[in-house]
This record gives sequence, C-alpha cells and structure tokens, in this order.
Amino acid sequence: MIEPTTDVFNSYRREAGLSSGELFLRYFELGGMSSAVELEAFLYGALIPSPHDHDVLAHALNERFVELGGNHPVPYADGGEDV
Amino acid sequence: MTIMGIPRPCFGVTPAFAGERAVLAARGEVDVFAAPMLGGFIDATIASGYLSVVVDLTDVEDMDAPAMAVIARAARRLAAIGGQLTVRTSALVARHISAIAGPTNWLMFEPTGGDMDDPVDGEASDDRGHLGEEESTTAPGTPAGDPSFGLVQALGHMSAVQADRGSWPSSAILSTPLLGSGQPIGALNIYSRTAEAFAPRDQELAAVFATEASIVLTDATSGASSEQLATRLGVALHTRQIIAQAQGVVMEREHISADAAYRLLANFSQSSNRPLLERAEDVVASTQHSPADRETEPVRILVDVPTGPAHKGPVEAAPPKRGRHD
Repeated sequence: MIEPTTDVFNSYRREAGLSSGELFLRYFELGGMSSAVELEAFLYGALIPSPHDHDVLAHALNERFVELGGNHPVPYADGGEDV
Repeated sequence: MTIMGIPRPCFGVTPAFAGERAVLAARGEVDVFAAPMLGGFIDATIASGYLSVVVDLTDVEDMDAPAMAVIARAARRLAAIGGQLTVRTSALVARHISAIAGPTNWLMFEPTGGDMDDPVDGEASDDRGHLGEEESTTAPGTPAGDPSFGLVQALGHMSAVQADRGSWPSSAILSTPLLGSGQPIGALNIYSRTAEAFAPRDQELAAVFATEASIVLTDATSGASSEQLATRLGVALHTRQIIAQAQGVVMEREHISADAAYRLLANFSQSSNRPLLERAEDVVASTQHSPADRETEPVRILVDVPTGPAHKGPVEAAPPKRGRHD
C-alpha cells in the first residue's frame, strides 16, 4: 500500500494547472477506475490509492507535465508490481 | 476608491426613496469591476421591497456592456415579481441596453436628452443619503494587487436619509468580487441593517469565502457545454478501450497481470516520451502483424527508462532482433 502523502498529488495538480474535473477526465481516460470523489480524496490524502490507481493518477499528471514541456516529476507507486 | 487595489474613478450610487419608488443614481465609471456592485445595490433595493426602481445613469461617465447586462437582468428579475425598472439615461445608452436585453416590455427608459459624451450640467441634488463615494473604501491593510482582497464597503448613513423619503433597510453592504479565471464573474454581496457593520476582519473573511466560491464557480462553469462534455467523454471512453485492449495483449504475451501490463505500457510511454494512448495503439496494431513482424513490436523493444525514484530501470530485458528503437 502507498503511504499517505497528504496533499502531494494536489500540489502536482495545481502545478500542472488542472482542475479536479480535468484531472479526473484524464485519469478516467487512462483507465482509472475510481470515482471523482475518490480521486479527490486521493488528491488530499484522505484516501490511500492502490498502487495501480497511484500509477494511473501519476501518469495522468506526468502526461500533462510533458504537454507543458516538462518531464515526469510525479513518482509512481513503489509498491507496484514489478514488470 | 480602489477596487482590487486599482484606483477607480469615483463610482458610487446615491439612493433616494419617495414612497414606494427608489431611485439609484449612479455616477462615475461603471465598468466590469463596478458592474457587480451596481447589481448589488439594485438587488438590495429589490430585496427591501421596492417594486419601482429607477436607475439614473445621468452622471455616469462611461459604461461597459457588463454593466448594461446587469441592469437588463435586474429588470427581468423585477418584472418577474411584478415590479418595474426604469433606466434614466441618454437615448444612445438606452439603445445599447435594449440591444443587450432584447425586445422587452419590462424595461423602461426615461431619456435624459443627451448623449453620454455630452457634459452633464450642474450637480445632482445633494439632500439624499450618499452611498458609495467617500464611504466606499477598501479594507485597511488590503494587499494591493491581490484580487481576493479587493473589497468595497458601502456604508449607509441612515441619518443622512430623510425619513419621509423612505428608508434603506440595509445600512451596510459588503460587496466582494467573484473571479473566474481572473475575470469578474459576479459579486458576493452581504447586507446588514447595522451601519458600519463590517470590520476589516469581516472583510477578510468575506474575501476568503469569495476566493473559494470563485474556484467552485469556475470549476462548475469551466466553459464545457453539454455537447463539448459529451464529446470529451466519448474520446475518453475510446481511449480507455484502446488502453484496455493493449493491456490485454501485453498480459497474454508476457503472462503478467493487468496491473503489471499497465505499468509496462506506462513505462514504455514515459521512456519514449509518447502518450500512453499512442503506445497502446501501437500494441493493438501489432496484433495485425504476422508473428515474424512482431519481433519489432513495441513491447519487445528494450527501453532504458530514466533512473530516479520513479523508475526501476529497464522495462524489458529481451533485446530486439532487428528494427527500430523509439
């Protein structure tokens, strides 16, 4: 399980210039299975995402950062399954 | 007077009451920042029970379309409860407001006989209570340039309003701009029957609330029409489908779980700096290839992902036998 990180995801979201709704659409588009309410809970650290959810959310944010000309600053889940 | 830290020409509103009729005489520049406040004054008047409201624009120096729209909307609201809003202004401005309001019989005009550009002769009668000029101030210590702290407090001095002209039940109005994407989208108006009811601390709290309310309003009205949203969701569903198909292909070929397949695709997307959808499309397209062609399929390409806490090194150990690298 991923350790709680308070609102780290939300900080990334703000830095990426995405609203919660926009981020949810991107997360959903990339295969996220949690609801918008759950996603918001992930953003604020109120809920701990599964490694998969963490990865989908991180990837949604990282793709946005790439669109903005940046890199991939959002880390993926350490507890994710090795491939 | 300043609004959002920016000095504004003396926008103000002077109310006068005669029986059941209220006259709101605006002056100064009614621009996009002052328009919500004018709307607040009109709202307060209507809320006080006046069904006959005159908005006197004789002394208004300039007026933008948002202000005209505010008046048109107020007239519509007043008409809905059996009232009547009359605008006292030049024929030119009347035409502009009519153009915004559209054909209607719930907005009346009293022509003043001059174009707005014409100089206004004389001073308006000064035996009415004043709302909005010298009493209109920003909160002391307001950070300059910070829109969330742009406040105008209008104080009603009840003693200045003669009793036989009626009364202004709201003695103080605190109006805070609501901003959407940095642009005014409305105003948060708070009324009190107590004169000078709003201390600086109250103004700060109103600003904080208005800031959060602005964020909610901005999110709620982010510009996406139903049709746009439907289109966006359709695209999202299609993308999900492609990614899910690619996951299935990778699961079957690599004999790994769905989550592991997703991670593989995500890592490949990152290492190649291409969107996950494009990588997934490549994988799905590879199912149309012959087994021989699959030697160069994307998931068989050795990708050297960037080192760092986010990644764990090469994703795929099988070296390519031939072909391109991304």
